[in-house]
Amino acid sequence: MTDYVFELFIAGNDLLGKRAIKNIKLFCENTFQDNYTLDIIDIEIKQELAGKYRISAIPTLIKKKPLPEMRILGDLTETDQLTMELNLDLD
Amino acid sequence: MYQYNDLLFIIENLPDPVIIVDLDGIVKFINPATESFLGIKKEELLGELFGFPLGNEGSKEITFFRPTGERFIAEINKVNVSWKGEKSYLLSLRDITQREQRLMNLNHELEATILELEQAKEVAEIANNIKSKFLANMSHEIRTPLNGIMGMTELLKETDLNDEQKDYLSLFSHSGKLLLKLINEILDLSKLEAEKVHLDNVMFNIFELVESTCQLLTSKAQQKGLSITYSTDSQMPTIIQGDPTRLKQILFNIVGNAIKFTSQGEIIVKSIPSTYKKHNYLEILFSVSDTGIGIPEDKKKYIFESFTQADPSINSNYGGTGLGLTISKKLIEMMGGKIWFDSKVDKGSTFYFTVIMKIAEKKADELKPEKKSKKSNQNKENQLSIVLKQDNFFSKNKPMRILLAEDNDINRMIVEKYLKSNLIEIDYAQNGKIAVNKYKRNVYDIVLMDIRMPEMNGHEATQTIRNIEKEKGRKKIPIIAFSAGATTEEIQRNLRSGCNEHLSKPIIKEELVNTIFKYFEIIKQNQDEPSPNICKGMTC
Repeated sequence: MTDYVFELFIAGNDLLGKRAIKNIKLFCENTFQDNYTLDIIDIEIKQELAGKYRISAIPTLIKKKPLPEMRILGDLTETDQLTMELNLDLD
Repeated sequence: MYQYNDLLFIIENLPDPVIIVDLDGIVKFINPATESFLGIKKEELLGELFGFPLGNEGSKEITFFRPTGERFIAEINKVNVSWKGEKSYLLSLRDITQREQRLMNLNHELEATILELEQAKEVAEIANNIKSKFLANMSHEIRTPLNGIMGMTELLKETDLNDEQKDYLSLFSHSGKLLLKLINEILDLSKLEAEKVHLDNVMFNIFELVESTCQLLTSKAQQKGLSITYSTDSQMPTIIQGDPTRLKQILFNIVGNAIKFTSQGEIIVKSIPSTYKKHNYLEILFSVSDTGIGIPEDKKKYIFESFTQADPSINSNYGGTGLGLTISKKLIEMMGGKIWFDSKVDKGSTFYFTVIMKIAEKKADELKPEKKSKKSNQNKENQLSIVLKQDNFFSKNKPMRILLAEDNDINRMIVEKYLKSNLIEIDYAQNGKIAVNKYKRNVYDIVLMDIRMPEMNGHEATQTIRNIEKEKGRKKIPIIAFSAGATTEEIQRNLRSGCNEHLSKPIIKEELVNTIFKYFEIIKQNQDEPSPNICKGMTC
């Protein structure tokens, strides 16, 4: 198991989702190397998950681990603020 | 200061949704507008994890889904606030679905317009292509009868005419030359527009180019009582690399215009190296000043457009096609330069243009000097016959045997008249195939080959003759191509097919005679050592 687990909710092919995927992938690779899991969930394909997680905004990034669970909305352009906003202790 | 309740009242009644979340993204407050906006009841949201966007500057675009599945786009703004003593974020939302939808519709409309424009462009390009081909064909077709008219005019000049007839003939000849110039320029412009013109890249002497171009125009200037002064800056590298023919065409045109529009005074032509560029490239600045009529202020912007002269009456007073500057501008742009001018009515104009050329690495003496002006050729009319008589070779040996391949009777007659001499024998072939057969069976000294002929064209006939020479070990016979096309590519195609020379129609007597002179020595050598394997029968 990896120490960092994320889920990114997107909807189909929209531009915001594409930008978010690119930004979070780059952030994870640079920050956690192999020590992370990132699931990208398309709510147009897995509608039941949107209901289950009560996702009303797209794109939404969910930090599942480490706890507490947190959500960031939008295309994640300002990745430099992710560490601080998600309370990630990288030491 | 506002009271807490006043502020709460304002937020509660804002038409835009407002959400307050703590730093973990848990919802602490929503206003009624949020409930209807998200389609979720207040109780369902309070205490839930909602999240927040990154960054504090500007708004973010986010797609929202209502529980009904309805999708809309919103702008979300985040501001740091204190809520009940705790650091929090105030998120405000604004529905921009309609705006986005409008933008999307506009985008679609724009894409459709672009598509339509692209299609229209394609259609226009096809039409333009057809126009270019049509012009090229038409100018070719017009040139052939024009060749006949001009040739006959030349011949008529040599007959006994009274003064009145001479005057008429001079006008006749002048109109013919104008028509030919117009056809050449239209063809040139259509090629430039179709981007079919490729610039040469050869070494040439820039000093000589300026000198020879100005000398060509000196007599025209002198006829009007004008003087031409030309100078090339001593700092200019002697040998540069580029397209001398096209550069000469530009300079000829601009200096020619200066002469045309000046009735007294002088024309000053200058060229200087203006800017040295990377990789041995040089920007050369030319200026051509005159003391002529000048260009009125309101006509200045049209001066480079096709068929435009400053005043419609100019054409009748000064002549010209109105295409020269358009062609020059296009050529200058192809050479990486630009053209502009200063002009005052009744004071004169100065045209400036730049071209970018490469400084050649070879030294000046490695370059063949350009041919000097052709003034000395003026007296060479009928000289062929005189020279043949003086030259014992042709009187002692056989006469000069010419094979003329030409399908047009009038053109054939003109060449015959031009070369008329009892020391010359002319044999005719109506097409390339007959020319090749005649060449197989007979011995000739020189071939004059029209390019466009039925059955077998001049290129194929020339290639076949060259092949026969190789196979049979026959001497290489000089072949002079006659063609209506005068473009660089056409000349190159003629030379590639094996012709030694190219003469553009209408054939000028002087040029034809001079060209034949060039091959005198070769003809004599060929006659001295007859070729083997001349086939006398029809079986070859």
